[in-house]
Amino acid sequence: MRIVVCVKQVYDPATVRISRSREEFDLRGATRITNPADRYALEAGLRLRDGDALGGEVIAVTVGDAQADDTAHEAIAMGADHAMLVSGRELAAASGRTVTRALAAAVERLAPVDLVLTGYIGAVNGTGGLAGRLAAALGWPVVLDALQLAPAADGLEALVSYAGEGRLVSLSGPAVVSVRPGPERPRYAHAARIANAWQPGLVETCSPADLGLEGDLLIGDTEAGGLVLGAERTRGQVIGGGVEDAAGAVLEVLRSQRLI
Amino acid sequence: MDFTFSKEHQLFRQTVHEFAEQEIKPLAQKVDKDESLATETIRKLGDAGLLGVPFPQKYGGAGLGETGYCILMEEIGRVCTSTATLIGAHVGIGTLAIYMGGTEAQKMRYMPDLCTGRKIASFCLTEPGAGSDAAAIRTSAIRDGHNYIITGSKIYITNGPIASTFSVMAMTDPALGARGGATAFIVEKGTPGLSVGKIEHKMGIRGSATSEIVFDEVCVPTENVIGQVGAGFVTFMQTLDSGRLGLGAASLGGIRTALEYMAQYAAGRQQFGKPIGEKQSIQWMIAETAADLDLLYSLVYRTAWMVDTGQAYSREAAACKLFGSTAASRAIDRALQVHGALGYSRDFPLERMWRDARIGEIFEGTNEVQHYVIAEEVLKPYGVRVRP
Repeated sequence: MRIVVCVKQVYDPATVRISRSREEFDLRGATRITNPADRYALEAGLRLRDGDALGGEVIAVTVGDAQADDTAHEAIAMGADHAMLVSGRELAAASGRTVTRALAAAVERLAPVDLVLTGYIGAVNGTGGLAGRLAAALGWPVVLDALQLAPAADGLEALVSYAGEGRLVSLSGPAVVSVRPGPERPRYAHAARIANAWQPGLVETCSPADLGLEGDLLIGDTEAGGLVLGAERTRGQVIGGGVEDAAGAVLEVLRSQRLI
Repeated sequence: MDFTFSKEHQLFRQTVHEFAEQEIKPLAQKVDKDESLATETIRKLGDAGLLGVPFPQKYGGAGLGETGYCILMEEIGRVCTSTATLIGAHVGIGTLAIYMGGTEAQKMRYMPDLCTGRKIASFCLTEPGAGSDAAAIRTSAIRDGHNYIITGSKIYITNGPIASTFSVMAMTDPALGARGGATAFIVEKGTPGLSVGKIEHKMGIRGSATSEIVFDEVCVPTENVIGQVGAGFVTFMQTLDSGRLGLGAASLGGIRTALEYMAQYAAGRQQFGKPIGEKQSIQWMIAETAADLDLLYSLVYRTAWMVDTGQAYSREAAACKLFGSTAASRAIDRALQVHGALGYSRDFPLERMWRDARIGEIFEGTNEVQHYVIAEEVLKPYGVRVRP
């Protein structure tokens, strides 16, 4: 089975600050990580490959700037057989549509692909639209938020949570599946694989033009309009006095804020 | 000059950090209380390739060198000194003795099982009458045809109760003294006459298993001699040189945690109407700890770089251990003082860290012995002989 896993490099949300005076993100101290949800997708892909008696391969595909190369190598350290980085200045502020087109073109270039896996959500923008868009672009079926994937007689079975209950969805033929963090936590990259992950030839770098993406195909469907800042966090209120009085005062505050 | 870690080492640090936070840190208090490390933890360390980090891949290691090993010890030392001690004794001295002194055939035979954690190693040097004075060992190995018969007792052996592979120093020719008369052997668990003696109950690093190892006419074939007959003392001393660096790295991790705790508490704890971090007395303790941290960080990774580039590092490694262990004790003691009674409580990790840190000044060559090592290197060019 040939499995493509879409992985994305994001800023670690814990390291991104917001500059209120300049009304912009302050990224000076920000570090980049692989989108945590994508690591679950990669883990699901690696498990399917390792459990496949006929063998198979996992290819990590990422769209990003030159630094996103690190995410491709990290995927290899975790266990991907090889990786593809789609990178170019044209993609610097790529919208969802452009990224989808780039990934779909990458999947077509890697044909025949049996399965495409994505994370269920992006850590930075909190959207989870990729799997659906990618399936539409490829003309494939989509399964959203699978908790677990297992081989079945005629393809795959995906466990999805539906209205609080687990439900099995059968898949035959190529499909796009988004993976939700489930019981199978992403493995730690093995130390020896980390040492080997930067050996030459493991990551193929493509420009959008290499994938046939030029001109109008690179025009996005959204653009950043600016930053809307939420209310500034204010210091908490300390309520003193005895336990009884304090409990009453706390209730009063909660009621006045319509929190209870 | 470029202080940037390689991409591989950066990803390795990130991975070990996550491993330490998720797999080691939550158990640190329990490991101390139970006086035992979970075998599950050892399996997880092995599965992630963390029990053979510095060794070449052809022997089953990760091939991340001494720099990788120091990153590992720093990140594990940050959260649990008992676990760091297990790794230090297993990788940093037990397996290292075979790697440094062993023949190619011995490395191929023993190291893959050790690097994956299928077997745990232990380094057997100390005896009741031979601590700092390692040359005074009495354990004997007498040649008997194709075999050696080892008799004696080793004490305070880290990993003793859990090890399967023992690197052991014994006298093959007492007349020659330690240099020339001492030989290193590999002894495997299950060899008749080998037994685990008294289990030590310690002040700190309680999760690290320590015991006496008894050799009662243990018969091993001559193939089990590590390297050459008579080369044992030199092999063991070189092994300890390197082990010291790992200890310095683990101390570095301890100081990082102490500083994090201090800064966090000083920012949140209010007394006299403001955070105690606004008091000069607290700021001084934090500043001195931060300065120690920066010094040790530079020293540890420069020394690791010297090892990885094939330079002599005996003096620097001794300095890592001497400065690192005292700085860690000092940092944790300061952090405890900043926390006041909370720091003294067994509910909070500083009490355990304070006990754990103390061993750093004692094992793998007391800090007094480190002074001799450093002085010897400094005074050698002046023709001054330094001997304890």
